[in-house]
Amino acid sequence: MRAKTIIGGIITIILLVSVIFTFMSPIVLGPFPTFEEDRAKIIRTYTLFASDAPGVEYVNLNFTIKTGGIDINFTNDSNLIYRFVFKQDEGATKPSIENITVNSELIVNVMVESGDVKVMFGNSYIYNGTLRVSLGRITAKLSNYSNIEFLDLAAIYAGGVSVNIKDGASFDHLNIRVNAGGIMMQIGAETLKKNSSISARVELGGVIIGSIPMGTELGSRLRATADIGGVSIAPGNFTVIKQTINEVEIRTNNYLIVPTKLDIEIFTGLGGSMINQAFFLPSNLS
Amino acid sequence: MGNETSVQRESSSGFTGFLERLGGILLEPRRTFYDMMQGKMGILEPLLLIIIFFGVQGALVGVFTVRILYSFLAFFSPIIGTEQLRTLQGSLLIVPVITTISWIVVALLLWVVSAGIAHLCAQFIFKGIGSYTQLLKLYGYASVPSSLVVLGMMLVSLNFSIFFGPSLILCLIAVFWTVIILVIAVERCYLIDPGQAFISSFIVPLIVYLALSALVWLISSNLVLGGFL
Repeated sequence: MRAKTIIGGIITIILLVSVIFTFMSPIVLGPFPTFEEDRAKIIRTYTLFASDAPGVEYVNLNFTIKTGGIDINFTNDSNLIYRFVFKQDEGATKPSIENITVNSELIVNVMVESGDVKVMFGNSYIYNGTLRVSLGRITAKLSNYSNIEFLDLAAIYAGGVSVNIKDGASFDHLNIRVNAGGIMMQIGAETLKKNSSISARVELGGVIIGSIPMGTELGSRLRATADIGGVSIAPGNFTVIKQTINEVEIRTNNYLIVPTKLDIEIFTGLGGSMINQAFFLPSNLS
Repeated sequence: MGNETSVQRESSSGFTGFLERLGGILLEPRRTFYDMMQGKMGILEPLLLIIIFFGVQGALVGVFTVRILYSFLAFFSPIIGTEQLRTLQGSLLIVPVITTISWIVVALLLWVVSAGIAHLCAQFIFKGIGSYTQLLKLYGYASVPSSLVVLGMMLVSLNFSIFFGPSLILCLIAVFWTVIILVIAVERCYLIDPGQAFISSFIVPLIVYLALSALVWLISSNLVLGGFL
C-alpha cells in the first residue's frame, strides 16, 4: 500500500514538474538563440589591391563556407580586388585563402569551416565564380559598381540566398541554387548595363521575388515552374504568356523592343514561388 | 479462536486513494483493476488522466519543436530581416498550443476507438462478458506508464546527447507496460484468458490501425500525386 502511494506520488510530481518545465524551459535551458552577438568574436581581414596582383583583369572565385554566411557588396574603389572580413567564434579554424595568378586571371580559393564573412569587391575587375555555403545564407547586393560575368551562389544543403539588384548593375548570368530553404530576390533596377539572366533553383522550399523591373530601357521576362507545388503571381501590368498552377511565364510589354533584357528562370522542386507580391519585404533588401 | 473467514480491503479515498491507484496501476495492475471494478469507478478520473498525460506530452513536443525552429530560423535573419523574424518568433508560440490540443484529441480518439475494437473482439469473437464503458474506464488508466515518456522527454530537453539513450529505454518500458496494462484490463473486464485478451487489446487494434494508415496513405498519395501511385 505504501509503495503504491509513493509511486503514485512520484508520478504526480513528474507531472507537476513537467508542467512547470514546459513553461520554464526557455529560461532554465537559457534563452532561445538570439541574433545579437553575445559571444566573443575574432575578426580577420584579408585585402588584395591592384598593386598586389598587377596585370589581372578577371577574378575567378572559388569560395566555400561550411556553416555561416556570406554578405557580398561592390564598391567604387577601383584599386580593390577584394576585401574579406571574417567574423568567427574564438577557436574557430582560420580561413584558408589562396591566390593564383594565371595570365590576366586571378583565381581565389577560399575555404572556411564556420563564420560570417563580408565580401567587398572593386569596380574595375570582372568577377566570375562560385560562392557556396553548405549550411547558411548568402546575401548579395549588386549595385552599379558590380561587374560580373557569371556568378554561382549556392546553399548546398540548407539555407537561404537573397539577392538585391540595383540600378545600373552589370552581370551576364546569376545562378542561384538552394537545396532546402529559400531564395529571395528584390530587383529594384530599372536599368542594367547589359543583357542579363538569372536562374534560381530550389529543390525543397520556395522562391520569393518582391518585384520585377519595369524600366523603360529594360525589358524583363520571367518563367517559373514548380514540380510539386505551385506558382503564385500578381501579373500587374505584365503580359501573361502562360499561367497554370505550376507554371507561369510573363514579360513586360517592351520586352521585344528594348535593347537590354533581363531573363529570369525559376524552378522549385517541392514547394512554390511567390512573384511580384509583397511578402516579408526584408528590411535589408528594401 | 476462530478461523479467518473473510478479508475486507478498505479502499482509500480522496487524494491518497488517487495516488494509490496511480502507483497500483504500475505495480499491481491486476489487483488494482479488481479493486476498482469492485468499487464505484467514474469516467472522469481516467478522462482527466488521459488529458493531463497526453496534454503534457504534446506541450513538451511543441516546446522542443519551437526550440529547433528557432535555431533553424536564425540562419534566415539576414534574409527576411530581424524585425520580421521576431514577428515570426512570436507566432511560433502557437506551436505548443497546437501540439497540446492535437495530442489530447488524438489520445482521446485512440482511447475510444481502441476500447471499442477490444470490446468487439473480446465480446463477439472470444465470447467474453463485460461492458464497453467499464473497459473504457480501465483503458484510461493505461495512460499512467506514459509518465515515463514525460520524464524521458524532459531529460532529452535538458541534454539530448546524454539522455537520448536512457529516454529511449524509458519509452520502450512505457510501451511494454502499457500493453501489459491493456491486456490485464481486457482480461479482467471480460473474464477471458490472457492470450485472448492480448489479441483483443493489442493484435487486432494494431492490425486495424496499420490497415487504416495504409488506406490513408494510399488516398493521400493519390490526391497529392494525382494518381501517380
